[in-house]
Amino acid sequence: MKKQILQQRLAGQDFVLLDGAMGTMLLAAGLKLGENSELFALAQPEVLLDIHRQYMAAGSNIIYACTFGANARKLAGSGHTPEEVISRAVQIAKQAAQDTDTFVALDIGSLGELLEPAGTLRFEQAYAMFKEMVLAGAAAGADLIAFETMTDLYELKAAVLAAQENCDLPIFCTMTFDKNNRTFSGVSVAAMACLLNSLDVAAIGVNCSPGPEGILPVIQEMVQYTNLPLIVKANAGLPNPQTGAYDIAPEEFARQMLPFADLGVQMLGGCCGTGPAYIAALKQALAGARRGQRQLVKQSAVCSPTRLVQLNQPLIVGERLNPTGKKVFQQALRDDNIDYILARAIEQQEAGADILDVNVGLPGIDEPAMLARVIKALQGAVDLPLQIDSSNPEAIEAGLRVCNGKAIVNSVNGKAESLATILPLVKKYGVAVIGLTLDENGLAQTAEQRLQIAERIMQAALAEGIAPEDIYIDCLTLTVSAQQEQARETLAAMRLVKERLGLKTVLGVSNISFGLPQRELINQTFLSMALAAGLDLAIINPNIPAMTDTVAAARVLLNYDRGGAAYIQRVAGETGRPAENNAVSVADSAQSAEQALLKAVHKGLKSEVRQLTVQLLQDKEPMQLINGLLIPALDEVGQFYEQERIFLPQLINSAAAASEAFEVIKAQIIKQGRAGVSKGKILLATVWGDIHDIGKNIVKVILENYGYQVVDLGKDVPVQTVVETAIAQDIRLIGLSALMTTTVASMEQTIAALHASGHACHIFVGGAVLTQEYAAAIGADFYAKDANQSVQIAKTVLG
Amino acid sequence: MSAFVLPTMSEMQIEQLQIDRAEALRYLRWQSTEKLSPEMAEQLGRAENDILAAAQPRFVYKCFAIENVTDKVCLQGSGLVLAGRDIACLLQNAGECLLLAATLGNRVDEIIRRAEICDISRALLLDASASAAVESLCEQLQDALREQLQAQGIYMTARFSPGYGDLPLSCQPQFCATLDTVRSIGLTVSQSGLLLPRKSVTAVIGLLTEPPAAAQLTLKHNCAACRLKNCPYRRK
Repeated sequence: MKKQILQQRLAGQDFVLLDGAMGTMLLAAGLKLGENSELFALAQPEVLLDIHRQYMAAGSNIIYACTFGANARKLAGSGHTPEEVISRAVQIAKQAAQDTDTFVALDIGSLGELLEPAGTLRFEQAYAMFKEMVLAGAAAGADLIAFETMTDLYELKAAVLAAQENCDLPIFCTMTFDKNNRTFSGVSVAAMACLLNSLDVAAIGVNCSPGPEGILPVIQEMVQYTNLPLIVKANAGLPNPQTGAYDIAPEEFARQMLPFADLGVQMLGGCCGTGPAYIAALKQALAGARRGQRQLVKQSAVCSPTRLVQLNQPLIVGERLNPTGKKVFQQALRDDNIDYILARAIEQQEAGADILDVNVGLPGIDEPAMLARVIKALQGAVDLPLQIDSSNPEAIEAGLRVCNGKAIVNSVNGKAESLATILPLVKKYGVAVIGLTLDENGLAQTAEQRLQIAERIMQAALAEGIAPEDIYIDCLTLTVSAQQEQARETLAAMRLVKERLGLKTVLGVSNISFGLPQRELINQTFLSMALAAGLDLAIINPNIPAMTDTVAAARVLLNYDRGGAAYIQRVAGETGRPAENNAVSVADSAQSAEQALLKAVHKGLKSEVRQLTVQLLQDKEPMQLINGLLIPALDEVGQFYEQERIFLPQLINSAAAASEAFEVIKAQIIKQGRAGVSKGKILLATVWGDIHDIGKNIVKVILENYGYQVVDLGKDVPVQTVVETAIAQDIRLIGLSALMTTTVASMEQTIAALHASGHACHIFVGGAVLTQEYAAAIGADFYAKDANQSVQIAKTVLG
Repeated sequence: MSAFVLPTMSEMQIEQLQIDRAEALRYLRWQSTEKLSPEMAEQLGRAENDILAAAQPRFVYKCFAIENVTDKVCLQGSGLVLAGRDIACLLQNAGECLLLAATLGNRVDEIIRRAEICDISRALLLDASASAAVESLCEQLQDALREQLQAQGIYMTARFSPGYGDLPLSCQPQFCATLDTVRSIGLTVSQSGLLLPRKSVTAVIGLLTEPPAAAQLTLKHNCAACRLKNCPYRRK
């Protein structure tokens, strides 16, 4: 009942007054800094009740229950549960609001811990904590849920999902922005709006942050990206470091809040430093104000947390994260070599991709789990929006769930079953979708037939509640060497889709040339034609300059790149182009190529090492190169390091350069379908709770150079994962890293668990706070004082 | 304690963050006698520039009256207790102290993380430069505060962080909660006590009306007294 009344209010013209600070009021009542405010408030319910009543008397239409930090993490060890604290706090707020038309919000703040990949809190753990709070608040009778003071879009997504899946209350979302209109974690205003627009939330906005004047530019930007009702809950300026007092008085605060009314902001209130006098002043100031009309926003866009990508000019979707036809990529998936995939992603971003397609479908791979894992890892490596590419609905959902930002689903098609399974996922996770113009009858042969399928997909998507701006149509590229007449139909269909349906179009281009010589020429020409026909998203290999050049040129010719500014900059600086291969001429004869390679490894010259390796592989066996050249070179560098003739950065430089050579050699071996060159498997992990993994990564590079196969479990690895992997893959040498005294405890637990499992293995440990004695005391077999020593240990154990 | 005015955070802008290369080299375990090769100098210079470009230096500080100094220190209006002989020594005769937290922000962690995937040697240089940069941020802030306070007859002790000497790292969560660092500068403490973003510092500085004793100015992490005899970062 109250939900409908609230929704009517949000749809209406009147301002809605929120309340002011809770913490500031509690500090005035004796709360100590750093103390748990929720528990303090519950210990004196009459004080809390009075605060709510003061705000209502000042004019607040919505009061926030004292539940901001009542999460499992902050209450741990207090003897109280979130459920208990929340239901009591909501009851008190409801008691204050009884017999009035004031609404009570379940107030949920940031959990106070960074989520992966920046921190150690898992997305799923964050979801579980929010869910617990939402269930308690809904059961206690809150009228709405207000998520506030968020700085991480990923955390906010976990929160919104937890609310949507566990109650039907309206959801408010406000984030805190710093200078430059970014949150502390770098989320842009446009990205926040883009993600939340299509998730089903009731209102969005800003809270906390500097005073109202600091928030003004944020809201000025926000109105350009959303049609949702807006919220501003501002601080009373900045606190004084001596007195703790904030520097803006109530009347001045109210005056500074008025410009938000002009911008069309509907809900206004106060955050840190404000009190009832501020809300009263605000009410008075708004009494004569009119809410400004907002411009209707219509945009096709996707985003990562830091980057909005609008489909307002032809864009490049990188196609390289896909195992189809790529043996090295397939091997990386089988070996769990996520770093290989990440490196391909970074390469594409540097080459100019705007969006990355992600496909990990391979027989024998648990696709839902792998897709979720790869997407999480990608989010720590690139900041591009993702296009989730799978034919498995379960995998698509697993990917969508953990994706930070607004993604594209690739794809749905005209088949009834596909429409029925994929479109609800697209709607639920608020993403865009690619519709393939095929159905139960197979591939449509004519442009008209393709249009008909596109229209059917569009109608089904609209009926599901998906906005037309989020539907992109793929008119399907067929191989011109097999079906020559089809290229023209594809192009004609694209024109029809754009003209008659007004939808965006997408096309995988590279398929067109299959089976023809000089594929690049056919691809480039077809891409030009497709761009002329109105292609919006070109799925291509961005590492091929001819392709990205064509898109850059088309942006000029089609009048998107105004004045050709981006094009000119690109040509002048060759930005976005992968480095050209300036074949080195250091090697005239085989003898000098070998010497040149040794020298290049010593000096840490990566591109030279790569080129020389390619050259030497033409007439040398891979093993000859490894054992005859690279290993001796590394041994020598290692000795220099021991003798302090060179220092750590130089050692690492050489190791990194040598690993370029190994990568080239490994790729060749895989392509030839031969068995790898492993001297044995070593498991490496940075222990649970620790995320300092640079040392472990250095060890990995060096061990791999010596021919060991490293199974890298990454950082913050649970004890059980180490044990299970060691047993499952029968790994006999295990390296653990921990940087902090606080995480050595977790190293000790991992070692104890390995011993308890009965799995026969040797364990070596490293990290800044460890010593030989300490390592022995926690049960390790070896202590590696540096990366170089880990090679000696590996030789001792594995040979 | 005599009345003085502590500059507000907005008056305390750090115009240009600096990186002390000698400090970065110490993190790289570079022996000071060894001259940098031109290539290495160039690579390190690039890493320093990348860190300076990515850094979003933020800080917060707050002044607290000291309630008592025995084997532990209690601060007025705060639930924070600072335990240990070292902190008691630092704050001897200090009527007030500053709690300070500073961070370079997430971007720095991000670029190091990315470099670790594609270019481990660059990651190493970035990591060392970032450690030196957050140290410099604190130094610069400290210098600016010292200048303002000394003009008012207030002296500052050295800066002392949880984890130094016998001040336990376990006070970190309460320390950060007292400064509300999550809200004010986006600094969090993980379950295992790590400061995140990684390149961050928390510290205490004592305020005195008399020039501090020598020990109060030199007290910091004491390598000579530390049990990690073969720590690679040990100052010689």
